Amino acid sequence: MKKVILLIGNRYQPNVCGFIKEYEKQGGKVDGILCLQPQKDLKFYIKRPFRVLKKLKPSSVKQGLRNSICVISQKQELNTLKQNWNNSNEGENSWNLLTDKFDIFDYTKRNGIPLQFARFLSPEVVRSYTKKGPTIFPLYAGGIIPKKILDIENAEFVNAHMGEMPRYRGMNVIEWAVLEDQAPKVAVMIMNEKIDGGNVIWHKDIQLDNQKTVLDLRRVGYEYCYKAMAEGISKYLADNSLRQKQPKGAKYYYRMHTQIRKLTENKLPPTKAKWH
Amino acid sequence: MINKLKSIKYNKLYKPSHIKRYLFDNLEIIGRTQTSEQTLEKTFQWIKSSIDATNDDGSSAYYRYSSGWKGSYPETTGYLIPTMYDYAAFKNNDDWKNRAKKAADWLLSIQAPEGGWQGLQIGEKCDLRVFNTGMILDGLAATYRVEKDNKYLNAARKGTEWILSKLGEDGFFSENNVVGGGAFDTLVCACLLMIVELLPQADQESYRNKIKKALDAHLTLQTQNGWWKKCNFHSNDTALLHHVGYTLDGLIISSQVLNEEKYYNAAQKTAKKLLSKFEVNLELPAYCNSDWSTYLDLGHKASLCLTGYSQIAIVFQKIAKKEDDLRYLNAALKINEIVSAIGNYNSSNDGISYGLPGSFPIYGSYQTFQFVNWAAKYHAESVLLSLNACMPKSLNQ
Repeated sequence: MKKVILLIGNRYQPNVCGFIKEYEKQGGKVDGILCLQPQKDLKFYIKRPFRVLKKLKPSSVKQGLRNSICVISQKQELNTLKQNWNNSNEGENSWNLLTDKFDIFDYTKRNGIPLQFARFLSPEVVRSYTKKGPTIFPLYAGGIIPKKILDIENAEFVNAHMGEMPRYRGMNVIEWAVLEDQAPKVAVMIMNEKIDGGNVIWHKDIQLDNQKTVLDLRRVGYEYCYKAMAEGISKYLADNSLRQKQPKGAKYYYRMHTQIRKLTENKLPPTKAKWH
Repeated sequence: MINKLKSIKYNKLYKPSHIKRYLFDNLEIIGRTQTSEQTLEKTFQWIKSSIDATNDDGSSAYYRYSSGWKGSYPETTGYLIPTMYDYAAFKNNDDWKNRAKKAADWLLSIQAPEGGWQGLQIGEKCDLRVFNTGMILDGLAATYRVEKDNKYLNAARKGTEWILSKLGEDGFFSENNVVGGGAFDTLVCACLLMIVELLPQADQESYRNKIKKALDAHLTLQTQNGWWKKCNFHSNDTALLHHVGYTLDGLIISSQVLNEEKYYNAAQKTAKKLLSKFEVNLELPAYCNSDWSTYLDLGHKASLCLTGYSQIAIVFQKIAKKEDDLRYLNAALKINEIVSAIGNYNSSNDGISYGLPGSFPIYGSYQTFQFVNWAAKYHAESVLLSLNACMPKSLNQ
């Protein structure tokens, strides 16, 4: 039987809490948690005062100068303009839209689930699990995983993506689906080196009802992501044949420009009748 | 050090208006984001200054740090004309319509007896040039469509015949052309087709056959990965975004007029690469190597070619409309916003105020230390397109 080791970034991640609850509803229990956040040991506190010195680096000084000029001359940085398209409240990775959370470290203690810490995801850390047998790592931290880690025998990294595959690869895909009058879905994938190109193990329809803003849309999308992840992993553990290669014909979508995002918002609340 | 001092002296970087803009660009500080209407207002303010800076009714090619306003540029005045008419229609403003007509009349006044127009700017000695003449045909076609005066069409027909007399056996315009011709001549073909469309039906066929021959020859310059050979002023190792823009737009217009998908498909192949490159990095370099990797013209980083940016935004909008694919419109709107914010710069110097530099930062290698009228033209065209008819069907529901 494959083990399920949750890969997380911090002890209060609402999407991880949601996953744990949903997974338990499916009758599952995680076999361990790997937190990619170093424990604050003595070394951490010794280094702390020296971090002030980083602010004196030429690049930091230049940045300070830029900020001051922008304020005085009422201008902006080119990078600020670009970042506005991925506004943290409305763009990708706006996990703070989910608020239902508990202390994951306490949960591991109460349930006798092993909790391990690592500064970053290294092949050695992954092998420490896979040497004991095939392991599935539901991914809630770590970002892009290098090929040398993805290729480790007996390791499968699973992520949930807010779009149907292969039709909606990329970013802001729930918004793009609504804009294009397509029924939004979550895809659960075994990651490979291609962005959103892994084998799909599960698809789940996102049920929308009265979402009026993009924020509402993303919030419900995130909820469906952890629900689909829990369902997908449960089903996949029971039936390996669910793993399917993506058909050809992928389209990549990118961060939405503010004007296009407004067009999406004009299509809310969604009515199923419009969907193809 | 001595070279730096020489550059300061030559480019008059001791002038407050020059050095201020230089420093802002160096720190990548740009203007505030503005609405499309504000952008157009300011861009046309700069275009007006470029026309007022000359002794005729043409538009000055550029404001250069070292020498100020340049003489009128027949080529770019030519393709500014349709944009002036479009802006006049958008604003319901006769002033820009009159300026467009005056510019066309000025172009007729300087047409060579052979039918072509000189290259470079007024005051510069230069042969008649195929590419420059082609761009003027764009302006004359627009003037004829609005003014309905045969003199514009007759002059354009003469220009068409002169250009086609320069078409080589191999289908390229190597003679009397900018850097011996290149992929960008697909836009010459498109301009020729615009004129041929206006001619009597019986006369069209022979012209069309010659133009198709040229287009087919130019398609051979596209490589397997969608990159273009002969798409730069100086070297064949890199493609300049400005010239890629000409090439793609030329193919899309030609495909539309001739109803031939192969030209569109070639343009789309390149546009697909550019879409992904832009969206992943949120910028397009001025120059791309033949494997589409970025050429670092500033040594440690790449500058942006703002004219190329707007041209690619136009191409993206045309593809978005044809394929009903909003991803292209999404990217075009981002490009327009970047260029608009870079141009949103007020100065006491009217050559700099709300003008668009050839490169960002201004010391980038394309048209260094110059605010060029063709960057203003293409930006205005791209913004007008986004306001007018470009929205894909799905957005009109």
